Amino acid sequence: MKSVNPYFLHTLLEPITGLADDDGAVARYASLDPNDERSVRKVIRELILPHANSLKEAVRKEVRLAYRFYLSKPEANWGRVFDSNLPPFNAPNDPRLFFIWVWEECFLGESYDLADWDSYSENPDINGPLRL
Amino acid sequence: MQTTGERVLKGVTGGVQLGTTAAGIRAKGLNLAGRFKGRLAPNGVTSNLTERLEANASRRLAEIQADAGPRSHFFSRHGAQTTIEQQYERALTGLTPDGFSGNAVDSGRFLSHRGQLNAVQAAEEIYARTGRKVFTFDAGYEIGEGFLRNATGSVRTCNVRAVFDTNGKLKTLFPQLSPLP
Repeated sequence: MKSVNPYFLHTLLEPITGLADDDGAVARYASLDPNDERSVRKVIRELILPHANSLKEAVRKEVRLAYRFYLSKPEANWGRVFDSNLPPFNAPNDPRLFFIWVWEECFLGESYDLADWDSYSENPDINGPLRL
Repeated sequence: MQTTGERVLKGVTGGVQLGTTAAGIRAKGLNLAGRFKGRLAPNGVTSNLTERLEANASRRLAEIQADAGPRSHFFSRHGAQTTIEQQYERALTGLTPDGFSGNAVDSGRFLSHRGQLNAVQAAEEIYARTGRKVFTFDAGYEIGEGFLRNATGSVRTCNVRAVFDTNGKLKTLFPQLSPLP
């Protein structure tokens, strides 16, 4: 059975991880409306897209699969993925939207729809991202 | 098979086994209690040593944070000297344990200074070995506790998330709470 590692969902958030502990970053994004798609996409293009483009292809492949799987899985808790990284701003009211915007900016023109998502098994391997 | 974090942590903590040392002394028939009667009690020895080790670890963590620069807050905001009430407050209002008014976020503390120092050393080892600036690793035991954003629940965790800057200094290190979707 094909498997998907949810820890790769955190990979694209690395540029904003822990910035809630950076007072300057918190001040910089204090006025950001997390529900304003245009503003948030701008932040994604500035911070996350360059990081996504710098990833090795093997990592991008795992990240792509993890996004496709969990964006297709109806009950995925996207709020936990976002909040557990201590970012400097809040997620939109529907946290899944943030990840859709990340997907659309980082995987331009690709569909995240994974029709056979229920044929995959989840393999939460915390060391997976460190091995690639 | 041990994880990278477990291997590193085992190496870091391998030299300090208080229970084994005390048991070994007793097994060898050394009548320390008799020799030092009135001066040291076995439990007192252990707790006193534990306090000293905690104090030393606390001091070292403060030094590492200071060395990392003013933007580093991994000790002042996630250290074992912070209280669970302070973590609850941050998760609910955004007020950090060291008094900064930020956003309400997941908020956690390490359960001991030694645990956090071991985690720092493990993170430095992983950084040196992989060059990765942001990563999560499994400490192999419950290392931290805290509240999810808006204090929707309290949790304990074995996971540690580390963030290094471009100069290899530790920007932050925190117990990562419930990271799975």
